[in-house]
Amino acid sequence: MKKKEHDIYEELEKAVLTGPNAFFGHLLRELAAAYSLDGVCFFEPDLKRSLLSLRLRYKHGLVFEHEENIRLDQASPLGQAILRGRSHAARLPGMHHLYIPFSLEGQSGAPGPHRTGVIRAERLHGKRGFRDRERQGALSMVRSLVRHYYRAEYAELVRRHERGMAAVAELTEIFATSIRVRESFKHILTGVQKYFGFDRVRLYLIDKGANKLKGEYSADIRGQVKSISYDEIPLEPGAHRFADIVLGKSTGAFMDRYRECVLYLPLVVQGATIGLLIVDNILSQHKIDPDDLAMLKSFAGQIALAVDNVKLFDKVEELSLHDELTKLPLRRYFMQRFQEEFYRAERSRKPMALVWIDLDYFKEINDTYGHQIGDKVLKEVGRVILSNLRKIDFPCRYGGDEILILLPETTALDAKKLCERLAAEIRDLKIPVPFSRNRELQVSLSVGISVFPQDASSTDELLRKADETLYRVKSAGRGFIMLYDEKAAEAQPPARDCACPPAEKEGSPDAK
Amino acid sequence: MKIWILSDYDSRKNLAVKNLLARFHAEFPGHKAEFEVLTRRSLWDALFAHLRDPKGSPAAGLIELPQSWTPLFAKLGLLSDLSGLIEGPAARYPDFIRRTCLPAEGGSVYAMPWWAEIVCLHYRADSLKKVSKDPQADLASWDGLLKTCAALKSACRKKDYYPVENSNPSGAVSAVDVLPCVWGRGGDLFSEGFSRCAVTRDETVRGMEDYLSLAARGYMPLFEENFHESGFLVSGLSDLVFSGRQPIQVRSGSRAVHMRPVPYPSSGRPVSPCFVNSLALCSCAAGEEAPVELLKWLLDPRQARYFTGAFGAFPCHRQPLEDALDSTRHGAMYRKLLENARLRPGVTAYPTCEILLDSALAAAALRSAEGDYDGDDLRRELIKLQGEIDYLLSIY
Repeated sequence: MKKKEHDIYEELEKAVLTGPNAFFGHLLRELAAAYSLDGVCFFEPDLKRSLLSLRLRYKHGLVFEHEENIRLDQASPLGQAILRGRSHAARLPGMHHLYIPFSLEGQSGAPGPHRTGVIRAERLHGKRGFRDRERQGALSMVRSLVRHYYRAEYAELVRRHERGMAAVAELTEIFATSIRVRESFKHILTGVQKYFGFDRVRLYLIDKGANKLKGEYSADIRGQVKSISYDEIPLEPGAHRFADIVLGKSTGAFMDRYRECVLYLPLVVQGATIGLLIVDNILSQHKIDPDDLAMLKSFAGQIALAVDNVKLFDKVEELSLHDELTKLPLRRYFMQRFQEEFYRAERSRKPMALVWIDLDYFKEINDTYGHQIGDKVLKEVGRVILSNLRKIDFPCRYGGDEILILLPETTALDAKKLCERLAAEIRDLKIPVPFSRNRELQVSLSVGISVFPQDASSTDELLRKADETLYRVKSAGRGFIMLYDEKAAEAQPPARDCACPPAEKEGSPDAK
Repeated sequence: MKIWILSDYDSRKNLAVKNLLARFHAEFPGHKAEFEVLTRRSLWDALFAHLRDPKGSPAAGLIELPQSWTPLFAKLGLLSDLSGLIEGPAARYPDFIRRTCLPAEGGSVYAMPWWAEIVCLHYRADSLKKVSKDPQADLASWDGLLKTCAALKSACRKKDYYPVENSNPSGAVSAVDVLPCVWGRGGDLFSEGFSRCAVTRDETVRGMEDYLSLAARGYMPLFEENFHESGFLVSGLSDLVFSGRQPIQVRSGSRAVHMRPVPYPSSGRPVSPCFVNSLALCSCAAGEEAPVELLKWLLDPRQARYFTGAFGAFPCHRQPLEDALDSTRHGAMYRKLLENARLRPGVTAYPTCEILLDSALAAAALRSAEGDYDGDDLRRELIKLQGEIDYLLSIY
């Protein structure tokens, strides 16, 4: 018997580190073998509901989860025995049962004031019942073996602690390194989702100008992020639950059940609320762990700062990568995107056009009417270009009056059509010049277009060929659009009434 | 390779799986398969844990799940499409299963129906003879059932006697238990078209209260020690049980006692509840040979016949089901029931609705066991539940 006990302890040593289920699975097997039982069950008392709830069962040589809840009626012999920590034997229809209560916390194995467990030993009717000596033996065996149980819980606690520490380290790094707006919001959301394991995490930010709470992103249980920009909530009391929470009119605890699986986390920086983070487990109905809740709340400040940093950085980046006058991206930004789009076009074998635009006689406009008017021209041209492009097109102010437009998935003909539309709209612009004879100014464009793959096989070559084409347009008199493989005579329009210097067209400012 | 099996009140199911896997090993020595038995709640938690952290909480390659869970976990990306792996999946099944459990032709198949329960009321012929001249007629309606229970209760002098055994192994009452009564009253958990949750509809609540009234009147035990395998019926502590399994023969001393099935008692309209459990391949095992081999092997009609026969369930495949119905003397009744069999629908929010309803009903059952049941408490819970499920319907 001593050797047997030693073996059992050794095996429990291994099982204890795997977790509570492995530990009790092993314990049930050993008990069944030691006392020739037909079945053994492990129950945990649910004191809040006064129930004994089955966790694991051993039968037919198998350990498995099973369901059974027994009401612990304090007036019944079973209820009294369990509450007093005594074993209880009963002869039931078809079965002999022996209940053995024990402590899940103390090291003596005897039931204490806190958490207890109960083992039920089962023998089929027809076999002998549980005699006193057996009851004592089983009781001391159970209590002796479960003394090791605290280590299974300790191992579980260590695993949770390690997970928590990893979450702190990684989330802190994510929040600290949040830089680029789209990517950063996604990283923050997937970070929160990954480490806390919510069904859904959503981020809403306040748009002060529009007085709205705007949806940004939502991360699902698998960490997949999607935009929820369609979701806009007026920031007025009573307009929506979220608005009330942000405005401090509600805590969000509007329903008891919701409180257990939804958390609303207002994001506050220096006393000002900038948005709302909402996490929920509504689909799975898993209660949010109080430890996770506390940790997430402690992260709220960091999340808010990270979100605010992202917004600030986005503003700074906008300023450094975009031309303030035309609102078009600058050359540095363009070259980066140009390279990326070119690789994409090569991989997908789709055409891509490069448009090089020059404002005709822009230097003369500046010299004749002054830089203020020149700036107005540039601003209007930028507006027309931005309003005519698709989301995937990418324009830039390349320098001075030269503008480049990258048109992914566009053939030469489509690129030319677009340029004709741009040229026509720009020609129709009426730039007011109060001190000129006509009181307004018209602008024309010269445009050179090169297309991948027929004209070039590299970014440099595509740029060079668009530039060469533009040079040929300018040499042929300006004011028209030409593809690289066109001849100037084919591309020139029959009448080019505005491709002439402003002074020639309406006289110098002095003529006024 | 691991397979997750749902726990069952009849532990012979576990033994059948053990034997099946031993036979599978003998036929495919290269594939080693282990199984783990989980309760419904445990399986639910394990599947969500896997979705949240696939590496930290690995899932089994093959999973048994209630048929009504398939759309949700398929949508969450947890299940593999089986349509390319299993030939002609739809052709294997009878119409009543195909209609609800499988997509229209050409659609993705995320789970294969494995075994079914056709829920009826089973009664002990010898006991009922004492209180009823025609048990079949007396048990045809819910009112008739209540009257029969009253007669049985007054005829039996045993202290712990309950006319109806609680067929829920948890000792409580759950959504699956009340659903036939809800359907019988003309109610349902969802509105037609599944656009709204309908648990607060009058017919739905009355259906739930019908079932709960069995306990409230002292006709059904709640939270008592579980006697399913050895139990109540054998010892004469019960004479009726709602069961989806084939009628069993129990022994009372040296006598064999026959259980006879009758259709589920109607409380307005006749119902033929049929609950199906399916087998699905976890997306984490996609591309692995062993789980697919095991799935195909388990779905083979011979294995399905052995497996379901071991614990009295019905096979889902057309031919084994026909064989099972041929071999029971109540085959004609079951065939008739299957003509109008009603299964739980495949709606993404359905499993969450059932889980919330399980909690609400368990709380009501506990209050009932404590002699403190109040229908208003249940209605309040149902109002909250409906709000939550309506919200889920709007987002998933």
